[in-house]
This record gives sequence, structure tokens and C-alpha cells, in this order.
Amino acid sequence: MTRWIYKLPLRLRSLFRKRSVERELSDELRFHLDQLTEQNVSKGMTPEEAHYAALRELGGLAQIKEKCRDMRRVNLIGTFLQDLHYGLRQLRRNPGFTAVAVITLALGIGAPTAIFSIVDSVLIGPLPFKHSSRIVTVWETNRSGRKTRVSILDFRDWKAEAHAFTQMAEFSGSFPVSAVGGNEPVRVDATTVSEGFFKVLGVQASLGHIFLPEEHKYGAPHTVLISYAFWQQVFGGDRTVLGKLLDVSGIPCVIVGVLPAGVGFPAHVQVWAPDELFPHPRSRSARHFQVIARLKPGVSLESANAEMRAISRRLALEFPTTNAKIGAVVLPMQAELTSSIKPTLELLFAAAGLVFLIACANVSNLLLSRASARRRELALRSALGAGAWRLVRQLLSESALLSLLGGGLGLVVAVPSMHLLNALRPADLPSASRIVLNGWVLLFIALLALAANAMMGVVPALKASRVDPSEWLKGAGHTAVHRDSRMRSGVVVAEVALSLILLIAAGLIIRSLVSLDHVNLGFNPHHVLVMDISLPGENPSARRRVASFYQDLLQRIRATPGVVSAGAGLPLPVVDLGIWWGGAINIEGREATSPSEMARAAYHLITPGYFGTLEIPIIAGREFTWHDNAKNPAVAIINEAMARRDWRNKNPLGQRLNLASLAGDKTWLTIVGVVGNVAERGLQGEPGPDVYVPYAYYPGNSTRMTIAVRTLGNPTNFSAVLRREVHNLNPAVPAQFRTMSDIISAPKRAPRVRAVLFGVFAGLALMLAMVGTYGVISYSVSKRYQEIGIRMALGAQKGDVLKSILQQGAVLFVLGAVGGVAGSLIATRLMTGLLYGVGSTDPLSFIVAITLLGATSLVACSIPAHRAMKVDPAVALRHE
Amino acid sequence: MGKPSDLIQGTLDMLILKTLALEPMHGWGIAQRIRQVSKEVLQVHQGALYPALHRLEQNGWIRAKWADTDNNRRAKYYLLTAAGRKYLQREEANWKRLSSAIGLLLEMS
Repeated sequence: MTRWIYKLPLRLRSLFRKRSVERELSDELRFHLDQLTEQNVSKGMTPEEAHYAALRELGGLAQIKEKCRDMRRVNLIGTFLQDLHYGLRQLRRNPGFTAVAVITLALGIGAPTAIFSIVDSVLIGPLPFKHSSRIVTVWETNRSGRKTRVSILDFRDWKAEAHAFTQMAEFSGSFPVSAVGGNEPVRVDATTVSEGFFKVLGVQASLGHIFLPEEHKYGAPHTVLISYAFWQQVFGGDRTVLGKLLDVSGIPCVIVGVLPAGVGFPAHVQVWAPDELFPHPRSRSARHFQVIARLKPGVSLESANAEMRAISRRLALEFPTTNAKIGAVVLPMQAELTSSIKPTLELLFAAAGLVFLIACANVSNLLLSRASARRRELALRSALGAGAWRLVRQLLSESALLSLLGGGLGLVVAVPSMHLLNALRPADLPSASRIVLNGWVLLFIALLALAANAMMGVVPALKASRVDPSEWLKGAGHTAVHRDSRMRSGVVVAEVALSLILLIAAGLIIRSLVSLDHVNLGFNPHHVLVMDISLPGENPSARRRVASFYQDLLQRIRATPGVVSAGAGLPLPVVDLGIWWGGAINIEGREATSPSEMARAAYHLITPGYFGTLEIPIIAGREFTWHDNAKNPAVAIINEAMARRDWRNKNPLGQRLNLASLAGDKTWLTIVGVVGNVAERGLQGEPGPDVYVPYAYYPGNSTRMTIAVRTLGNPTNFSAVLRREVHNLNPAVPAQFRTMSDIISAPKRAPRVRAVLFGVFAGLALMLAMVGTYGVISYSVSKRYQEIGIRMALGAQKGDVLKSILQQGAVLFVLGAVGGVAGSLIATRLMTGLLYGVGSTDPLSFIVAITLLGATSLVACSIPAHRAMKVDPAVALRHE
Repeated sequence: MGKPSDLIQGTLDMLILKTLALEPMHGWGIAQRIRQVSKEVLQVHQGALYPALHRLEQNGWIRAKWADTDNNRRAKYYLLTAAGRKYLQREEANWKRLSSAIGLLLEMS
């Protein structure tokens, strides 16, 4: 092998410096000619004669040069082409083997490639904005350090004081609206944005213009920007769309611009309007908005964070009622958006990696069996002079062809999967980062193919190269078969173990999904329309009107035909995910001096009818009535979780508490009811303690409530008539409508896709393991024909033969299962973050997976077993 | 000078390597040396010599270096590599075994 130190530079020179190599050859031969001429001269010839004599003796210079060139060329490309040609012939002659190997490789390479393409577009690739790494999201943090949305007044102060950003803008998240551009109303996601929003993103309109400053003023004519996709879909790409009207939830807006193709933020939003379209709550504690900003050049994330923290501290001092303990945090946009999906992607990547390994193991086994079968041929070639390295190279180029074909087919497998996988992207990513086939993905697939080749080709090739010709030509060599089959069995055991890990993981994920589907919400989400209302409440007189507003509105809504019941609350379960409001509870009789020693619970402001509309069971006591608004006495309702935690065996009714975290409020509230628990926060986690208080007690906080309306029939049919009711009461109040069912199903989208993908991978792994088991058992049976024949001739029954073969398969299975269980116990512990309702050692999943694997192993063994049983002893004894 | 004897390729390789084992030399010098030492019996033709030298170089058993001769001419000198030395040893051993076996057979009478 040390020869390569000399051979490699030589080969490279022949390739790249041909001219100088040629010149050397000429020089070398000319030197020889000169020497020969000199010799002739010393023998007495004249210089001219000597020269010609030398030429004659040298013979054809051209031929010599050609022969020398041949020596170089043949070693370089010739053998390579020879190997390739031979390899192709071999593959063509064994179409079955080739097909199985190529398809196996295609699946094994295609799966990780598809996942990698998501990883590339979601985690690695840049967002489709200018210098996207400089774009950040800014959040407020509540007293527990968790990040929350931002209030408009805080945002304005930030914008005025922060120096770390070139631009800062807020947007109101995305909400569905009904847009009418042509004839049909279309449901799309929309958002309202502040001035400078598009400048933060670095986006210009492709048609028309982004919002001008004057369009961001109250009282200006309503304008909107639409996305490219929306433009194509609703207006057919009509370039005269500028100036046309788009009716957005009943408000006519003028279209002033179209965004470029594939650009948008937040994800799925198709319509942007200036903030001023829907008047927003002016309260400093209404934390409703999200903020994005662009860092100034040269400003680091840390310094931006430091500045924002300082500003928040100043605000906390200036507005202790609303901003005490409120901080701020600056996060890079990309990491932000992908943090939810990162664990899933990592897990899927690991799963796909396992599939890849199993596929390589399978093909490696196939190659091993083939190498054994070709031992005689290889021994012959070795005896005829082929070096060991030559044989290895031959076999490697065959497996290289396989990897090439497998990789190519894998690409074909991966591309349609990528389209399907677009659904997996987190909802927040800009719709532009579509999963595409780019250079990185191609590079990845090439690397995988190379890795596959290395893994599965090297071992069989090395084994084959060490043949001893004499041993094989004599016809012996059964011992070599045993060594081989032990290695093959080992590989299959590994395969079985790996596929068991995948099966168990898939089982856990599927069970999580089922649990999620059956989670007890604690209320009835069907036939419920959800209305988001924002009232003006910036001065005391406005606040006084808040109480009566809701009372009137709910009365009118209830009077609407088709409405069963209605009630409002803040926050509504599951709906208002971004809002969590809570704090310390001061229980009478257990006074603690500081809030940090008190019990904690979530606060809810509600109207009468809330529990009835959502069908939350009242376990003890009663619901609120409108009389309770008078605070005579002031009342509260708690949920089961709180009752159990704080009043374990006693009756909480009649006990008193106050909401200690509302600074300045010391009103004692009497508990008049206990209600059932309600699922919180994205359907996961245990329900926590909740305390419900009539909204009228805190009008400043009630300016933005969510109204739940239970209807007969489809809730969406009621949005128009209910909007009119709101409008009749107060035209300045915007209302947005969604259905509860839509809201509930959103958090289940990702787990569903996860479950499907995992199921697919596990299924692939199972299939591959089955093929692998079949291959090994079948091959060993075929090698043991003679032995089986002898045993049958000596009196063994068919049943005994069957038993021995099944035993062989059982050993493989048991060893693999043990390894798989051990591996799963470790692997599933890494998955606990994604599981819901099942532990990482859930026995049911383990048992089902093992049973499934056992069944397929049995099937895999039974086919060769059947063949073994049909062996005719007479034929077998003659078989070699 | 008589017809140059036909030498099997492997044997020619061995002779070249043996010559180089003593000292580095250029193609012309190798041919001369072989002729001299074999007392004019073995005359290697250039049509066989240079292809053989290039093949041996490609296989990594010898390597080349351009240097000046005594007469200040540029010539391509060849040297034996470590792998080449090992190969030579193996081939020599094989040859000795073969020739003694043939010798025994020929002595049979």
C-alpha cells in the first residue's frame, strides 16, 4: 500500500500535466539515442552514420512512445472502465438481486434525504428576507419569565427609546377574515401591521407600493396589501388590481400593492392592513401584539437584549400597575420560529437515519451472499494473477454502481415526499421557505450514497480479496461459509434491533396522537362561534361603559334566532393561547405576608352565561348572574383543581379570597361556585387552578374579551348577523370571527404528520428487516440442502427440519429483540418531550411492537422452511 | 551481436529491479549493465525496456528523478522504492525455487 505514495502523484501528473509528461518521454528517449550515437562514433562511424545507425537500432520511436503511453493509460482509466463494464454485466445478469438491492437503497437513501430537505429549508436555510439574520422578534416577559405578547403602549415607548434597531414594527398576529374580491367571499388569514413593518423585513411590493405613512393614520381611507398567491388566486394575476376594492370582514379596503411571490410574514397571511383598520385596545396591559425589529449593523443580540431590559425596567418603575416585573427579550427570528419544530425534525432525522442503516445492512448482506457465491470465480482470477487490490476494486465498483443507482432512485423517492412534507412546516414560517431540491440536498444525497457504498461494499470486498486460490479450487471451503454466515446473521440481528426501536418509537407517537385526539377538553367545542372583540377603554368614562356594553351585546346575541347561548371570557380556554393571566391568591384565614408565599392560580374574567355556553359542568354552587356585577357581595368561582389543592376535604363555598397580584386591589371575593377543569395551553399539561371573576370588577382589563356563542347548526353562518349586532351597538368596535372546532384542531396538525411519518418509517424498517431475515434464513437453507438431505435420509421427520429452521430464525429474532428493547429504553427517553399521555416505557407499545416484529420474522422464516421441508433426500445428497 | 533473447516480461522486471538495487540508473545504463553482466547474452531492446520501466514506475516499484550525468547531460534516473525492494526479494525467491526445480528435472536421465 505504500506504493500509493508514488503512484498517486504520478497518476495525477499523467492526468493534468500531459504535455510535460510527453516532453519527458521524448527527452528520455533522445538521451538514449544520443548515448547510442556516441557509442557508434566510438566504434568508428562518422557522426552522421552513427546517428542514422542509432535511429535504425532504436526502431520505431513512435511505437516505443505509444507503448509507454499505454502503460500509463491502462493503469488509470482502463481498469476502471473494465471494472465498471464487468460490474454492469454482473448486475444485469442477476436482475432479481439488482432490483432488490437498488430499491432497498433507494428507500434507505430517499427517506433521510426528504427529511434533510426540510431541515435545510427550515433550520439551516435563510429566511427569504434581506439579511434575515439581522431580523429579530421582541417579546415581553411576565413575572415567571415566560415570554408574552406586547402591549401597544409599551411598543410605542420601545420604539421611541431603543437605539439598537433601525426599524421596529408590530403586528397583531394572524387572524382569519372573510375577504371578498370577486364574487365569492374567501377565508384568508390577515394581519394588521404598524408603520415600518415591511421595512423591517426588507420587502418591497412587486406591484404598487407598501404602506405609505399617511395610510397608517386614523381616518385615512382603508388600504390593504395582498400576497402574490392571493393575487393569482382571486384576481387571476390581473395587473389592474391596484385600486380595486377588497371587502375585509365587511370593511371595504383599497388594494394598494401586491407582495412579491413567495414572500410573506407571518406564515399563511395573505392580506395585510395597517393597524388602524381595527382600532386596538389602548390599555398598557392589553398584551396583544407581536414585535419584529431589525438590528442596526454592528449591534449584537446581547446588547439589544441589555437595552431592552433597561427600558423595561424604566417602564416598570413608571407604570407599576401594569408593568411591574415585566421584562423584555430579543430573539433571532429564525431560531424563534423553528424552536417548536426542531425536536420533531431531529427525531425524524434520527428515524430516517435508522432506516438508512437498516437498508445498508440489508444490501450488505446481499452482497456478502453474492461474494460467497462468487468465491470460485474470484479464486480463479486470483490464481491468474489479479492482485488482491484489483479484486477489491472490482467488488467496490460493483457496489458503487448499486449505490449510484440506489441514490438516483432515492432522489425519485425523495422528491414527491418533499411535496407532501410541506405540511409539516411550523405554522409560523414564512410561506416562502418551500422545500425545494437545491444544491445542498443533492450534495447530501451524494454523500449518503458514498457512505452506503463504503459501509456495505467494503466488508464483502475485503473478505473476498483474502481468498486462498488453492483452497477454493480444490472444492473445499465450507468453513469459510460458516464464518460468513455468522457475520450475516450478526447484521440481521442488528437490523431487527434497529427496526424494533423504530417500531416502538412509532407506537409511542401514534398513541400520543390518539391521546391528543381524546383529550378531555373540559368543555364542548362543537357548534361554538368565537368572536374577538376590542373595546376602547383608555379613559374612565369609556371603562364605565364596558360593563353595560357586554351586557347589552350578550342580550342581543342571545335574542338572535339560532343562538342557544352566549358568554364572554378572557382568556377563553385554548383560544387565547398567547394570553395567560394569573398570579397569587390570598386566601382568607391563610394570610401570607408576601405574594411569593401565596398559592397561585390563573385569573379569568367572565360574564354570566360563560359556563353554560361552553358546557363546562358546575360541580357545586352556581354561575354568575348580572346582579353579581354590583359587587354586593363580590364573588368568585373556582375550578376543581383549585378546590382540591386548597380546600382538600372542606367545602370551599362561602370561603373568601382576593387576587393579590392585582396591585391595589384588596377586595375580598366570596366563592359561590366550583366548576369542572378545562384543558389549557395547547391541549397538553394538567389543568391548573383557575379562579373566575365577573368581568365588571376589572373593566380596564375587560376591554378585550372573547365571546363564545353556541349556535344551532354551522356557527360560520352567524358571523354576518352577529357582526351587525356589534356594529349597531358601537360602530367603532371591530369583531373577528372563528369557530372553536377550527381552533381546537390546529395544535393537532403537527402531531398528526409526525405520527404518519414515523409510521411510514417504522413500516419501512419492518419490511426491510423482514427481507433481511428472509435473505439470511433462505440462504442458509440453500447452503444446507446437503445436510438436510442427509438428516432426512437418516430418519429426520419434516417436522424436525421445520423446527430446526424456525429455531434458527427464532435465535435471530430473540437476539435482535433483546438488543432492540435495550436500545429503545435509551432512545425513547430522548423523545419524552414529544409524547403526550404515554410514558417512554409504555408497555403496550413495547408488546405490540415486539409481537409485530415476531410475526413478520415468523413469516420471513416460514417460506424457506417450507422449501426445506420439500427437500427430496435423494436430490439433496447429490447437490453440491 | 546475435538476436536478443526473448525474455518473459516478469523476468525482465526482475532484472531491471535487480540492476537498480545496486545503484540508481537511467534506461541506457540499465540496458548496458544487463548486457555487460550477462556477458552479452541478454540484450534488452529499447522497445521492451522503456515500456517496462514506465510500467514499473506506474506500479510504484521504482520512481524517477531527473539528474545530470557525468557528461552534464540531463537524464531520467530511476530508483528502487521500498515496495519495489520487497517485490524484488519475492520474485528472486520464486525464481531461485523455479530454476532449481527445473535444474533437478534436467539432471534426470
